[in-house]
Amino acid sequence: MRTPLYEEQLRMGAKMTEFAGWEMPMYYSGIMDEARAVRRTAGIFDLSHMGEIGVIGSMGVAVLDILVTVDMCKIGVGRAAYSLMCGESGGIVDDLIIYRKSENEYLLVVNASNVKKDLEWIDAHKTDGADIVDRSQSTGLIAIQGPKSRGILAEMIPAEHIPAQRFRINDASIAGANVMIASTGYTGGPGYEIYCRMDDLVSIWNSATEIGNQFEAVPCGLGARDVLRIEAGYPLYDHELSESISPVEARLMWVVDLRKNSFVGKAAIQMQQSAGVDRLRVGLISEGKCIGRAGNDILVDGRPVGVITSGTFSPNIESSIAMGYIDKEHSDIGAEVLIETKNRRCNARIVGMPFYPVTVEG
Amino acid sequence: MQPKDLMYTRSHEWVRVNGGKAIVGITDHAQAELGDVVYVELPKVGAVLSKGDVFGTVESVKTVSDLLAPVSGEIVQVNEKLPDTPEVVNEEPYDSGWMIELNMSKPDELGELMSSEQYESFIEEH
Repeated sequence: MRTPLYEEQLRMGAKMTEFAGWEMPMYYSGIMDEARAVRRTAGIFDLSHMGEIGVIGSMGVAVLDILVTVDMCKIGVGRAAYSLMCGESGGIVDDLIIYRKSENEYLLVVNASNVKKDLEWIDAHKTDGADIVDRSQSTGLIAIQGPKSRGILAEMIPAEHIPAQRFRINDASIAGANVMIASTGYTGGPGYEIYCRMDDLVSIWNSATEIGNQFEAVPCGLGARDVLRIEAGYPLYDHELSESISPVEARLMWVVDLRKNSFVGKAAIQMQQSAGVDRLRVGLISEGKCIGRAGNDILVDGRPVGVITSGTFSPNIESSIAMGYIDKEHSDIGAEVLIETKNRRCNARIVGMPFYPVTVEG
Repeated sequence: MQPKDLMYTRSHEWVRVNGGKAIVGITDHAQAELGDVVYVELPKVGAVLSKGDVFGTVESVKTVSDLLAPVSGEIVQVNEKLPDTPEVVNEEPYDSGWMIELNMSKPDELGELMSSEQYESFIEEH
């Protein structure tokens, strides 16, 4: 699949990659340059591959309340929340952003690779009075992320339409097209996401990149997005998250509300939390340019005690950074470990996350 | 476009022949596939390679890739600047991004390499 921007991206020099069935830009000028630009000025991303699922109707909130780990009562109209959906055994089915567009309409933004699975999962739990609509193919998404993102957006829409706080949404109009502006993102910096009709994607992209130019913003690919989310310590599905990993192990209990009456996976998660888990998600910094890669073993005293799930070189802290799962007894911050890469053994230590200070105010 | 005066391997190395010596690097196509190169590991001068041997690794933000010897020979020079400035592999893959120079022991092996035209169609097919 291709977004309507495919030709334009090729013209802009994009190096394309396949991701979840979509041909998307990996990078334009270079992953490192783009990841730096998002911290210094701004980056503009086409993220139209993401999955969007509408939940409509008076019973929608009840269906979601059973499926997600956050308390739906806390998501008022015009607000957004990061959440998980878990299975009965507590494993993570997907992570998602929930937007409440109106009293009885929610938009779920899910991982592109999980759209089909999520739709089946939600359908299996739906009741009368709730419609579940796959809008993935008809919804376009452009993210503007970085300290200049607010300035860029203020040239595109009236300032009063820009959400004033994080995790808020507003309706707006860009070049005659109706859009939803969300103050959300996956970079750990300030930024906005513009949801639009796929048919309006090209005109909104052109507007964003043209205005972005004046702010020294650059178009960014999925390569920079991955670097930025690792710098922010954010997990990625199929790397840090899967159906065999629980929110306790992933250290995502801040989005699990155990005070809720019930939700799928609650009993299992509660039990895990009181009994404790054997492995935990950690951040690692390795010496020099020795980058841990997904699948690499983490060693202590020559013995494998964990595995790397993501790794990259961070151009913003100029260090080799990684995430992984490690036996609890070796998970203390400061612990020294080795990462066994394809060709080397890297000295590394366990560190707190985020790697790059998350500052969401623009 | 690939420089016409070089020869190419299926593993995306290039070879510049100068008498009995061969300079080796990776192609523009290879560096674009790898993305930003952050680390290059090269062998020591004096190492003896057979065609197809792994002589080093090139590591990018995305992945690690082995470097394969296009021909057999003894290494007479390595690009000492690469460990400190790996980005030149992206910027100038055919010039300052060169990796090793070999004293060829079996120059006949050059016949098995591809011309620029052959390499061009090879990367179009793959």
